[in-house]
Amino acid sequence: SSGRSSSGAQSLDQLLERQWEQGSQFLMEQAQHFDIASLLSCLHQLRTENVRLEDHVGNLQLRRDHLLAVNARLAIPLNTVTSGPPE
Amino acid sequence: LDIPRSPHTPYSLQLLLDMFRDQYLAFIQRMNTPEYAEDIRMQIDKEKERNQKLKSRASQLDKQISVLISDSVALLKSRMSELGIHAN
Repeated sequence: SSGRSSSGAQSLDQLLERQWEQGSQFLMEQAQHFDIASLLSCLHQLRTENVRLEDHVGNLQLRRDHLLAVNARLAIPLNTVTSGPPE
Repeated sequence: LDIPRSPHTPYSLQLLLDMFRDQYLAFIQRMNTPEYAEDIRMQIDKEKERNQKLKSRASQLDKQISVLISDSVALLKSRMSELGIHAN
């Protein structure tokens, strides 16, 4: 999406990011000639989905742990709470 | 086709660019081999396996969470009944 080499990068991050983008775009173009482009995009798609899934699983784990903690507190009968819960 | 080069390219930059060129050339050659395609296929299989594991882990957690929620509700009701509040 960015212009060709003519426009100068404003920061080191920008320079490296642009080179990463242009390099991968170039290699994907080369891959078209070798008939492995579909394999590479399949791999990329799977990796993207797995990153998303990992994030989702992490959130579910947090939620589960939170519910476990809540239930542990709710499991204590009220008359024993007067001594104060250990938190 | 000749690519005009900037006459002001410092020597060290020229070295770096030459190194990049060699690395790209070597990699493009590698991409054109059956070994590379095989390598990518293996990585795809690994990611698919990981995908399955993550999906079953997610559904396992989903089930645990719904059980825990119904436990929470039951526990909350019994605590409330201790206060004389009988909710439905």
